[in-house]
Amino acid sequence: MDLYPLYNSLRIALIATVLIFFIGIFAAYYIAKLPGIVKGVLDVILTLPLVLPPTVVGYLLLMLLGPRRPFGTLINELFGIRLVMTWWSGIFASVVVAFPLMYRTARGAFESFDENLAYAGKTLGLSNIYIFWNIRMPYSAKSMMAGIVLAFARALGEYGATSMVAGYTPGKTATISTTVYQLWRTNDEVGAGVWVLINILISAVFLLLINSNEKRRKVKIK
Amino acid sequence: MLKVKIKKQLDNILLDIDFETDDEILGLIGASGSGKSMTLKCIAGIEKPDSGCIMLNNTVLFDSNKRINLRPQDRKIGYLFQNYALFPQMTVKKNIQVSVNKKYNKIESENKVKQIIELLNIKSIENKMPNEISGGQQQRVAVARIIVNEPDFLLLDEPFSALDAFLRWNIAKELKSIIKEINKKAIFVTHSINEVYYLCKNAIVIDKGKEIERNSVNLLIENPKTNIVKTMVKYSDFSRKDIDNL
Repeated sequence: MDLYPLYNSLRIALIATVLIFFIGIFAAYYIAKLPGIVKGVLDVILTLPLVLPPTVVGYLLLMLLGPRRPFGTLINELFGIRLVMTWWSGIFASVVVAFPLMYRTARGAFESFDENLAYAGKTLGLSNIYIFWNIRMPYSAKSMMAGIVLAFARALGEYGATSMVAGYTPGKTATISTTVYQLWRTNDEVGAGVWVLINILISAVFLLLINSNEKRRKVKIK
Repeated sequence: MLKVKIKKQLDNILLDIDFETDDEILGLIGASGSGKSMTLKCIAGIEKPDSGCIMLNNTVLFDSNKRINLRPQDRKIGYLFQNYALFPQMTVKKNIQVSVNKKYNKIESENKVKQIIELLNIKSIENKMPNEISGGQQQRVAVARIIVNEPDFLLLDEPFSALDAFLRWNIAKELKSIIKEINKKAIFVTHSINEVYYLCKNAIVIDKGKEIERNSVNLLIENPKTNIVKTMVKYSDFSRKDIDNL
């Protein structure tokens, strides 16, 4: 059995989650500080992928990254890299689709932060970077973890935008979700079923790891 | 010597404060929403006044004309928060360790932490988390954190209001002696004229962002000029004898 879809799905989801984590927390942190109207507009734009059908996201991504579109052409001319129909195209799709989950969770977490803690840190001479990573983030650790889990799960399960931007090429761009569809479409019910089981297994193990990690933390604090 | 002359438009009032102090502890009294906490935040650099200047000893902390606005990190001002603002994910000891003035090396800094833990008698709780200790202990940790940071000036923002009445005067007594011991000048913000009577010689009364009375605390109590201060004294359950006996 060819395990390439498993490997490809995992690397896409992992890379996408790391990107989403950093972009998500920084977007949440800086947008929260912006004046009302700008904040409202950016909030809508950044949350849109959550409510749009993934195919619409895929269409928009193709309009931006496609080989005959300005941005796609530019990257191709500068670096000789194609942005669509490669394995890493799935990363773009996953990042955009799963991003709002991290962004919204981080926004909520930052908003519930007791700002006096940051003020206290500043008057005690702690740098803003130290305060961010050692006071603000630990305070919101639980929410951040939830955001990461949701984003990873969503990235792993991403189908619609990925199939449009990366397509389905066995051994190249195939992911678990596109493989399931392809096998089902070609009447390979058993093959599709195997990949369905693998997907369920990964998600369950991932969630179990997170849960046990949380329990350990609680015991440690007690 | 602290000089403050600032204006700042708040939601519903214009904060307009102008004073100079060289007192041991200057009292700043006012009802909630009068602008007294905002004044402290401006001095600490957490909030930015619209205009004016703030000077501590010979250092300009803020000057809107010269476009000077030092970061809170560079102002050397200790701020004791009403809810103490201990970092909740760090132990008591870690809270103190991260606050030690950066001019000390590792060994010196460990010694500072040890000394202050002994001085404030918090050895038994040094490995606890802030949410596991009492309000009085939390305040001691907050004070320890400020002392090891070695600020030039202290701002005390209603430090007793989170404590129950029984504890309040014990803690006030403790804080008074600590401030004396570390020999730092301070501004003490409160809405209680009793606390001001106990801690300060002089006080400024603020209402709706503006100073309405300034005098020695004794005169404020004996001969209040405004109705606000009269009411404050009248409803303070005032027993100066009890406070004097603390």
